[in-house]
Amino acid sequence: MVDRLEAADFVGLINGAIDALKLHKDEINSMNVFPVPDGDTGTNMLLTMQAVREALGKSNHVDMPHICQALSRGSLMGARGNSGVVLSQILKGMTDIICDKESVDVDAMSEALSHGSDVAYRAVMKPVEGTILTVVREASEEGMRIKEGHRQLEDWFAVVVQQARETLEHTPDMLPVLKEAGVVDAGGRGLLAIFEGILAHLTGQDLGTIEEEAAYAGAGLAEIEVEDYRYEAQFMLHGKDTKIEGLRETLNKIGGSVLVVGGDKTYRVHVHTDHLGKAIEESSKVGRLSDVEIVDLKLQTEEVRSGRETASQKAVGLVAVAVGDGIKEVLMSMGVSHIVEGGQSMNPSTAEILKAIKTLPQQNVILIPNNKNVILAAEQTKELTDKKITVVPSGSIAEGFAALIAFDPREDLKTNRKKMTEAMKRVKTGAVTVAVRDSKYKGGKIKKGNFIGLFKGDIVSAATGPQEAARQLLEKMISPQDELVAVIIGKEAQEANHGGILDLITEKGLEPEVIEGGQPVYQYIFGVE
Amino acid sequence: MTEKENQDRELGTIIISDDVVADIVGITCTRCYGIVGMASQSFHEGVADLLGRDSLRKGVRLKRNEEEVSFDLFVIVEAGINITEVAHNLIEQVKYMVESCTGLKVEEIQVHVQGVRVP
Repeated sequence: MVDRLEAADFVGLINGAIDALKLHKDEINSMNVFPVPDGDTGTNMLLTMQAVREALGKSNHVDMPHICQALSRGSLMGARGNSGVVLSQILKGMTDIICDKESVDVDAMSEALSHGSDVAYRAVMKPVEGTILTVVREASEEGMRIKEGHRQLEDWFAVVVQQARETLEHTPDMLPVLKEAGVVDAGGRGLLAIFEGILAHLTGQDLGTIEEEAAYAGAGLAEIEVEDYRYEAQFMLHGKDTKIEGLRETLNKIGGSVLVVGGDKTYRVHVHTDHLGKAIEESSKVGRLSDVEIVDLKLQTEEVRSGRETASQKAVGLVAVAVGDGIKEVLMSMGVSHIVEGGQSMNPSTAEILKAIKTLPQQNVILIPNNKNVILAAEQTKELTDKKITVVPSGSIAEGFAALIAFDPREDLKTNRKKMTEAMKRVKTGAVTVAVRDSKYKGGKIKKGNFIGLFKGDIVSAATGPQEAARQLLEKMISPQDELVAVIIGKEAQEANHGGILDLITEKGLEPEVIEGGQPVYQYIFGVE
Repeated sequence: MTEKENQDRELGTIIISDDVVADIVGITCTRCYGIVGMASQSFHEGVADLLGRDSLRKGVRLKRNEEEVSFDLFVIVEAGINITEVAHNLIEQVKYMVESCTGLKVEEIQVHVQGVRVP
């Protein structure tokens, strides 16, 4: 029997919510069709709640303001995706009510949930019904209605959860796109999972075993190349904005690794050169210099060689986004120095990519996102670091491999980007995966559990076995001038099927190149060129 | 992809006007979570505001290049919300809606956060 919740009790509730989200993450991801079908709602909600737990810290001494701070700030900062942002608003609204209370009873809780719903509704011009918003609103309304008759928190919350479940089941009636896809709203399902986790914790039920999240991939360190220029100069420059572009060009003639960042009359300049005096002189013509720092790079390189860790300035570092042990191994062997864990339905954030960039000793970094949903996050890192970043916008791992083959460590960033992008564009990527729910495609119906072939963003084949799905897929992909097919075998692929699929490729007169990728979701990925 | 093919079917061509595309974007903005208003950009829109007419296209600027289209969106977000994430979601949703409704390819979307609304 629980009639009041103390601050310390909330820690368990938050953990209960996270455990439930972990359990249902994949299911929620698979039903995500609105507003954009990108299959990451479950992951996003889980990451948002995990940010709350991180904000909570490890401290054992907790009080209500601390809990509320973690709930509202943690979810605000860590909000991911649409559903994560909505969740952060719900939590923020709830904390407004409970933050100055010693403990929380049914009255406070129903008021909090109701206010959470109001706050969540406020942040959008035209709320779409049949989503997480509807679920939280109807659940909170029910909570208000029944609070007099249910004075124990677990009794009250059981009714609220039941209402959330019923509302969720009705979401397809409110939002046609859900009905077409034959699913309920993913965000609403995520909220229900959180509720279920909390209820399970309140009543002491078991949610079942929870799989551990994949561990963060290890980092490798690249070799350090000898710096061509003698000196590195860095300084602040206060001068006219219009002259900056000219200075950049001048510095590029005198030296290399030129970086001029800033704006509004204040710039930070970084250059490597043999003609130190000239670089300073040219810069001082443009404006006033301050905080001038000079480093003798020859000395620096020697120091590095003698064992001290300092950044190499010219070499190009490679950062790739990938999932699957085999794929990571191949990437490492191709010269990638750091791999950020991520892929379909698990997109890394800009911050995670930025962290990888920072750990590299190189000042020049090429990013290989290997997923079209990651390209944007990768592009955004450019603004956030002094290092020179370029993105080779690979949309799949097969494209990433092709790009890496074209990588030449002796060339500079620009040349590499050009070569790699060209190589990448020559590859056609297709994949075989399992349908997570019943659906339709141009060729007919798909049953849950069928194998489907994906090519250029469309489903092009469906069959009960992976071999047949792969055969139809390859028919669509291969054209007469193709020579090579890279076959990247996934974690869930059965060994018995491998032979048949490789035979298909050789029968077509093409050469298969097999990589044990170990990636999840996609049983086979094909790269044809 | 299919939309584009459909547009090229025999007997004629379907031409989607810029205004329609801008309206689709405007509607998407009103439904995007975290966006609580659009900010007038042009003199034209400012006058429409004064006249009390609320245009769907308010705060949407569009650049069209045959099959490709780029947008500048001038938005107001709710205070106390993760602005970068909201802007990111908006970009995804606009891109998805425009590409799936019109078959045009979205080349670039710039979101300009012009204000925050404090409740």
